[in-house]
Amino acid sequence: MTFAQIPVRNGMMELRDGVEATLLGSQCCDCGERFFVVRQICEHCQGTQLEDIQLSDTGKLYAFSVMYYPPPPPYRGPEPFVPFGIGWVELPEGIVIYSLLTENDPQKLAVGMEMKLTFSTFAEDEKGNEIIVPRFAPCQAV
Amino acid sequence: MSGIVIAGVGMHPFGRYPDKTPEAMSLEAIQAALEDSGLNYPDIDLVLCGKVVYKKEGEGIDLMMKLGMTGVPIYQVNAMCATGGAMLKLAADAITSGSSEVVLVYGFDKHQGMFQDLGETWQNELGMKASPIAFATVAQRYMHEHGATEEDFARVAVKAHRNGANNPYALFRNEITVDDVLNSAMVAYPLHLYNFCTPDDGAAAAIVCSERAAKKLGIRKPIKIASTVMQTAAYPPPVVEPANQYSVDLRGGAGTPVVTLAANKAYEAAGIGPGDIDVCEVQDTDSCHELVHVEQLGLCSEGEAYHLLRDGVFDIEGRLPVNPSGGIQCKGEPPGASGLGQACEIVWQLRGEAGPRQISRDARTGLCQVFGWNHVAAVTILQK
Repeated sequence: MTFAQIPVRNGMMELRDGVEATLLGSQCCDCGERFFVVRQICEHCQGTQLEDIQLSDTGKLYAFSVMYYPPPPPYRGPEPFVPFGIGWVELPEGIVIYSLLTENDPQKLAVGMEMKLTFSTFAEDEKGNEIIVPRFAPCQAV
Repeated sequence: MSGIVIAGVGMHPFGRYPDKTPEAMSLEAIQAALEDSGLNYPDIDLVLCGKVVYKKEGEGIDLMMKLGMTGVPIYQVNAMCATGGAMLKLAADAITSGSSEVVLVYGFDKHQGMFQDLGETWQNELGMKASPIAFATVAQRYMHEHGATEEDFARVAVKAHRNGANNPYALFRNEITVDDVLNSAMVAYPLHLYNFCTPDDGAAAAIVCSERAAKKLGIRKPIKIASTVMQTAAYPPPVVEPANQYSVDLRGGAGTPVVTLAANKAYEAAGIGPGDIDVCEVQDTDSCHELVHVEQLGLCSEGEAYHLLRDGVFDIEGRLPVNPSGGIQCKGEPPGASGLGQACEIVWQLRGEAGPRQISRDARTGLCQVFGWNHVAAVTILQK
């Protein structure tokens, strides 16, 4: 029996065949500004005509942290707590997006390193569907 | 600006008071501020009450049950960690408009832990918006861009504790070493436990009035509000400013920090420049942000603050004392009260009433700066 895979948030990514994921965003038809995750209003010019765009699945690490302290509820991560990496990734189209990382050792992360989009199961919903979360992974070791 | 003064200030020490209600702490701060100004509660014609996290409805309004039913309008204000600065701005505006003459602003909180529910539900469930991460990401980028190290951030905490040790209103009153900071637990790389402010309890109050009212009422030690500004982000925001941003489009260039936007307006309104600031209290949510905010305020150039810190420029004996109170790294942060806590410190410093932590230089102009979640900042410039 197979269950569906569902992105953790609407308007954030498209999943195909359980092997590929594409990040989604919006581009403002008035000012051309681009955004990660689909949205209805342009933060730049307040325009309401935005078209859906697909974003690159590679980029460069812009800034990062590793969280060593378990966040209080509603955090639902693994128990016992496992530190997690998180940061900003600059995509080739010139936008920087906020994302979880696969790597949780700061010594193995560096600003400017090449990153690639991966996705993994975060949880199951009540129907048994897999909730999918995007995470960027280093392409090579530091 | 502005014809407006702070007539009196008062604080309840910030710290852990499990057996004391925020209302009781607020009353002590308010009574201290009234006494400092020489005014009485019936002189007040507007009350602004700030709180961010403490969960009980109606605290501000309940003040009438403690201080008397004078009919005064009372509003509750929440601008996250910028609440204190935001209230000073609202008080000044109410006086400028002519609708009020003597305003009581007070703030309090009971803050138990880090913010963890600032984003969308799924982000909170994944821990993505736990507040230390956002500040740590800025610190990591600062190290990358400017060559600062974890030792530099530790030096900020050491300086804070040297000042806080002499502040009876501070939670932590012990001196620490660079090694103590570096050996404290890593919370969010590259920031350790002792690099962060601590959520705690406390209250602070200020009486704000027109210069005319101050003369009429015989205020003894007025400190001028030269300017006060509240600001949120103006697109484009910087990439790593702590906020709910999903993405930033860098094609049009990086954005201006919200603190810089607020500071520029504050300097202009006061008719001064950053070089005129003699002492400041800045939002030190973590050690790195003390440096970042000093730079964003234009008090030195970008990437210069950690060098000046090493040289002692920010010490209470230095050319530009920063956070002589010990900041919220030592006082802890009850977010409803912390901004007014800064105003108390600058008022005391300008009057020469700060006791063992009194800055060495003769200060005429001081600055208070708060920053809160999701691109919100307030800057207030005080003068004697």
